[in-house]
Amino acid sequence: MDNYTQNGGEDKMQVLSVFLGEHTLGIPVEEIQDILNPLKMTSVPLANSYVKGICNLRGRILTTLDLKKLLQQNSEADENSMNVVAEDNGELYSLLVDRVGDVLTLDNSKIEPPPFTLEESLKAVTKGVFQLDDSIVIILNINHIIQNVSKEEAI
Amino acid sequence: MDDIVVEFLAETNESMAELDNDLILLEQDPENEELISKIFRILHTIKGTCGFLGLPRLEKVAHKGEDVLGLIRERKLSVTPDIISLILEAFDSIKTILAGLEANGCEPDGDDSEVIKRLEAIYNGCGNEVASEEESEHSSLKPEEDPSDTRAPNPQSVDQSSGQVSENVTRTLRVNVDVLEDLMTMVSELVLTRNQLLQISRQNKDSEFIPPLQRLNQVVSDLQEGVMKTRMQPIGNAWTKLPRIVRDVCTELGKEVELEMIGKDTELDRQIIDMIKDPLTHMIRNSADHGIEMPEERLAKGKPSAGKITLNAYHQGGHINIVISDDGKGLSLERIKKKIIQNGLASEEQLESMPIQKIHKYIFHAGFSTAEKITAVSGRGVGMDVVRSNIEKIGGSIELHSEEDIGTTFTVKIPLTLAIVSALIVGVGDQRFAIPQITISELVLVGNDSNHKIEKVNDVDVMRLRGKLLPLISLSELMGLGRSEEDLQARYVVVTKVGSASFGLIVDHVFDLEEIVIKPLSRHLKNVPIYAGNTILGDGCVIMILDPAGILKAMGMRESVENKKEQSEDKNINLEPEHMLLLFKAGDETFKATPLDVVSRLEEVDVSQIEYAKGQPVIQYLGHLMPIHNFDQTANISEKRPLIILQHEGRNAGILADQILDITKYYGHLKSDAISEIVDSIIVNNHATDVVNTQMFTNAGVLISEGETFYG
Repeated sequence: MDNYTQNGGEDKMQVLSVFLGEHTLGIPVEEIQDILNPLKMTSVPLANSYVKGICNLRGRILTTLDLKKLLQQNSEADENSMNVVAEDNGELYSLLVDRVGDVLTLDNSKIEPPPFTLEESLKAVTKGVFQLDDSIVIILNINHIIQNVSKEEAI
Repeated sequence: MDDIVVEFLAETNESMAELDNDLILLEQDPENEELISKIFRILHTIKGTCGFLGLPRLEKVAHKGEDVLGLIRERKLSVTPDIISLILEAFDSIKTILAGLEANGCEPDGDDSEVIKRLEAIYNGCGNEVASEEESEHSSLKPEEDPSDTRAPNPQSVDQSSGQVSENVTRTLRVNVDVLEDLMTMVSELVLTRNQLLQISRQNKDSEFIPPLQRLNQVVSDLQEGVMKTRMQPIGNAWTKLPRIVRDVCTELGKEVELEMIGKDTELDRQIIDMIKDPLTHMIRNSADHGIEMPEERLAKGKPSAGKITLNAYHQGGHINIVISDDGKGLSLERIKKKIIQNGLASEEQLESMPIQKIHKYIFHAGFSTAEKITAVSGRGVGMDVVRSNIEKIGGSIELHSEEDIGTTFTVKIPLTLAIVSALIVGVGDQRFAIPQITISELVLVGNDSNHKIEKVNDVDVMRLRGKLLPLISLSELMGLGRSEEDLQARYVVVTKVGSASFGLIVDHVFDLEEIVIKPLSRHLKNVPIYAGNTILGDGCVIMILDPAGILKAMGMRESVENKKEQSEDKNINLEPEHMLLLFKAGDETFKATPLDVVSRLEEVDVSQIEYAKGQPVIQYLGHLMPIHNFDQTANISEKRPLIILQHEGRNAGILADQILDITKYYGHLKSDAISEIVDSIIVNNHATDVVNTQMFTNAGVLISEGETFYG
């Protein structure tokens, strides 16, 4: 997990905590462009099931991806899901999460590698985990998530 | 003043400003080779262009300056301030001449002999006596020709260097395309916002915002139009090289060709102009080279000795037609046929029944050149297939009509712009989709109030349209949105054309024609073939743009089976895969079958020819021993029997049969995994039929073990 040791120069990292089912996830703030309320979406028939739809974000087209489906959870996003917007390769994506929490400042040295027993789908896109007093945050690598899916598709 | 001169002025003024700076830099850094080359190159371009335009005075100065710079470049002369000043002086003369040219449209009178003399002195001083008078003449040979390297955009805006730009020169400014693209996006965004504001204002009739909103509305519309205009250029810009090309072909081959260009001012998107430039050049060159005959040949045919190529561009409903016609010899049907057979694209019998138009279309296939010999001007492998694919890439199409000895006409249909297309918005259920207008040929209302009805051919929707049967695809079914025919009295069929295939898309609603900006699909949606892109509508909604070619592709598999089904007489077929089977009898009275695709030949053999190798029956076939399978070992030794020769993965095997019955179609899956000699039993033409295990027969190893149980 050298992703978080790489920026060891600065010893703090800021993540936005989001909630997805029973998980608390952390998304590094620098990867996030926007956090938006539920948007009016156009569904895309025949698209992969994790593509929830497309919407217009200030003149740009945003593809909304269901994070629950991406991480192979057994549920899916609903109309109250929040959008966490990220950009990858010049394209805008929104990841749908149940709820958005606070921005947490984490001590880099306390970020641990994910337990090897974690579900594979989640482990592949996890930078590490962090222990909070009352819960454990799984820190995600958003671009990995987006790119992994498109790679799978290419095959 | 001639447009070309205007362009030349704009460009040269720009380069002169640069040259001044560069020279001064060079003075400070005399060893900078890159800089020297750059200065030399610019001056060389100016000199060359002057030659084209017939500006002798300007050319002479530039030429002399170039000579001296050439010496510096070759390191025969070192850079000294004196030399730099002298070159700068020469540049000043050039600028004076340019200014005069700009003001009066012709070179001003005056004498540059003083500067020239000094330049010459330096040049000769270095041991180069050849003040190449001939060279300069050489480059001024063709004043009527167009300096295609000075392809400046529309004569429009500004230039920088010369302070005294006269009023009658339209000024140009070169702008990076990206800047324009960004502007486009922002304007589209502005338009959307305006639309939203207007919608709100309609609900509050007496709002004080209404007058300023109306003004905003007007301004935004003008702005949008203006930005669009910056992208548009007359198609003539793509034609500038053509007269020269035709002329070159003529001189080289001794032909006489007249090129007529109509509709030069037809405007279209700059991007498209760039993309059709090469295909057009290629087609014109083809016409001149292959189309137009030699003068004697033409006279013998009773045509005027000079051939004529006409290039005509005009707007027609949202796109531009470019017609390229010549009065040459037309396409040679015989030669195309020969080539088709040679390339194995179709058989002679197929060609017999093929309409002429269809045969002509083969020239768009890859690697198809019917020119008997490759000339210097064309036939170098960039064929019509490249032309077609380039045109199709920008959403255009190409058609051709040719008559032998009368001529050939190509009609190229291209959209006005790539960025904005006009699209029909249709609705299925509560979803909306856009279909690019260029792919739509007509719109038909079907239902109770209409003469047209959706009918069924074996569960497939079709519609009778002017005597022809049009296959229909229900968009809602395709999209998996479910069928809603009960709740709708009337539906629409959007008749689309993809290549030569026509089909109808059944939709529930037809809304509006809208100008849409196509935005590329996200990576996560690219795997769905039926979409061409997505777009944001005037009301801010995002919708998907359908790609009829993709829909056809998605339907492709089913389509081909369905077509065959219609032809087949068998009524009991379903959507199962189709197999061609060879039916025969062997051993006993049961019908046996083998897939036809593994049968390579049918032979007749004498049973006495059967020999044994390693205990296995074999027969000598084409110099090899071929294992054969004999279902009936009681055969009389002198009997003649049909032998089915199978070929699978390069291996041959034979099946000794009693009687060959028929070849028939079978729809369904065939098992192939069994290890016995019969893999499956099926019903063919109401008979129980055993499918033999051809894989086992052709697989020698299995055959041996199997053979041993038979013969051991």
